[in-house]
Amino acid sequence: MSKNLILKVENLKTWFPVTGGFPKRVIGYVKAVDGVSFEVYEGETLGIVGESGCGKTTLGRTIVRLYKPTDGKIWFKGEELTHLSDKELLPYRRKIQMVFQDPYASLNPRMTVAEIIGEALDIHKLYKTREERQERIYQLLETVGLVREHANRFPHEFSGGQRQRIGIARALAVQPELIVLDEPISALDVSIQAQVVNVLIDLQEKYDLTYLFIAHDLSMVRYISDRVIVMYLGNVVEEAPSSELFKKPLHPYTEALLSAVPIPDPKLARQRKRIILQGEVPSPLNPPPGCPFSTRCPYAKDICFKEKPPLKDVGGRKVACHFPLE
Amino acid sequence: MALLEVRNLQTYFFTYAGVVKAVDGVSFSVDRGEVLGIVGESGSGKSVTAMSIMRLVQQPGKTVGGEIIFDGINLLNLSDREMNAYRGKRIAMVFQDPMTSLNPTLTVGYHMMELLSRDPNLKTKKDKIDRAIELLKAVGISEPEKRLSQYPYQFSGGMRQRVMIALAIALNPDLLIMDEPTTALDVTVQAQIMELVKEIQEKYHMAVIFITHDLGVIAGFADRVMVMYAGKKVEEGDVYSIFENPLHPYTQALLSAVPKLDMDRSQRLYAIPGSPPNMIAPPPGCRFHPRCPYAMRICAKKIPIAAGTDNREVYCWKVFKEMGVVEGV
Repeated sequence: MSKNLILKVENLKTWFPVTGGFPKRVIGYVKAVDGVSFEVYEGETLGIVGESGCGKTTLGRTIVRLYKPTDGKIWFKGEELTHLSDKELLPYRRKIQMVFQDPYASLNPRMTVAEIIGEALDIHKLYKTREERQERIYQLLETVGLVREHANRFPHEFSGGQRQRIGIARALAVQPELIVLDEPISALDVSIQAQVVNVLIDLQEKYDLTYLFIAHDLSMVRYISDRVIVMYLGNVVEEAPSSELFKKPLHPYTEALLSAVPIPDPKLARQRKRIILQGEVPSPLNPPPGCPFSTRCPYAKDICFKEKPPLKDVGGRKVACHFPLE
Repeated sequence: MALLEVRNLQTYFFTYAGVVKAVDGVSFSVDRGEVLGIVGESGSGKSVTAMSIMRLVQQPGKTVGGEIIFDGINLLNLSDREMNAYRGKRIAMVFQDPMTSLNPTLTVGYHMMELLSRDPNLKTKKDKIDRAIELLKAVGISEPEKRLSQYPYQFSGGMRQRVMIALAIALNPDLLIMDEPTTALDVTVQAQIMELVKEIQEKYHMAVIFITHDLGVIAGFADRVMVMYAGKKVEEGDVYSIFENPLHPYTQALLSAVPKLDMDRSQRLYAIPGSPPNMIAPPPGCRFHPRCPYAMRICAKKIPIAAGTDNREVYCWKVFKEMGVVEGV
């Protein structure tokens, strides 16, 4: 794999103001993403996992600049994106695309498939003649496993899996280099998930795409990703190559998360020791002062409640914990 | 005798577009203290099966045929009043979505008191409150005294599902039906809830029907598994043989569509081609045949009959050819 840096995120923060009181004023911030740093290399798949509310979707949306970051920097191939205006950003929007979680909500029900895919071509003026535009739409549909007859239909005529393929075709239309996939398969039935995952892997090989694969389904993330980052309460708690992370987690949260994943094997499932976390994720409005995981961590000591551990290098991987697991 | 015996259950929905045979001739049984897992994708009829047992299927749906024998009595013959005496007391149900299955305008305590007023052993209000506190404690809710006067919105998803479980076990039912109780929850909370359900099942020796689309969730919990596809049972057997040696092509496909722990991207997942059938006009013969890699001519013509061995039931012509018919089914 080539080791060219494609995306670099440094100390990224996305906070949402919470208003209240009278007169209305800002009374606090939901720190959805609270100081996240990582790098993505060309052609790889970086998995981002975490439970609901950990900030993984906000992170993905901030990278495609659907949200403006509160602080921090995003570099795409050496160019800093955070200070760019919407107009200056347009060429980068072509390079970074997104596929959304809900295939029922992310396609405009009043537009035909050809209009949905064609819109992206129009915005970036990627054709000379109408015939060329039409041909390109047909070609994209075939690339994702649909047929050209589908072009004039509306989204409601398709199943969930087919809609997700339309979403992928729309993202591909502008020939992106990086695609942020925000839970692209979690709304689909098991038998359809595999179809979509196979399409994604084929496309990556064919067009040398880089993926940011956001998901909560750990077994799928392990399967599809080269490297994985684990998020908890707006922070990255661990980063490692996928095979190593699943073999030997270093952060207590990762350990608990992995032990909670259901295994489709009755013998293994009954033998293994599960770490059942107590309590629930604290509110991101008012995160704990020390380590974000300290309130639920079975190994927490005094320092964990006082000092937030930084993300440290540990033998080629990274972990944010005062007492990483041996 | 089995605690629950469902025979040839047929629940149809009469829509303007046509008749949807959501459950079409399904038979199974559950013994006392046994955990039956029902697995299937959306539209397979697993939830409608559960609703039919509780007799909660609403218009335009109707159970048009079959028998539901619970402890010797056919529930389908009971009047609404008689059936109400069974709900909660003998058969209880936990629904999928903990966000919508509690009434948002009533306190959690009200939900519990309403149910506990049906328990003849609890005479005074204090008895009922004590029992409610005891139940909330049993499902792992801290500060139960305070929690009783709170409303559902003050509970998180996992906590609401715990309340639902407390309500379900309040009257010591013989059979507990759980319809995707952990689907809306995060994995770590799912693990908490599964641990709780296991503990309660063992403690009260309850029979449980556990409905899910996630094969992983059922593997560690069920004694027996029934796989459904498009309104029909396709396979049933004990949990070990289903997972180690799936016989129906659909079960095999489902198991190979999820990545195994030692798999990497060089091995592709098995993707079942096509999509689940339109239930208004399901394919003739075996409903899985248009997506089945082993489909033969007979599969498109005749509905498969039960094949397999005595503790295994498979509805597939290919298995029928290889193993022969099951005695007594």
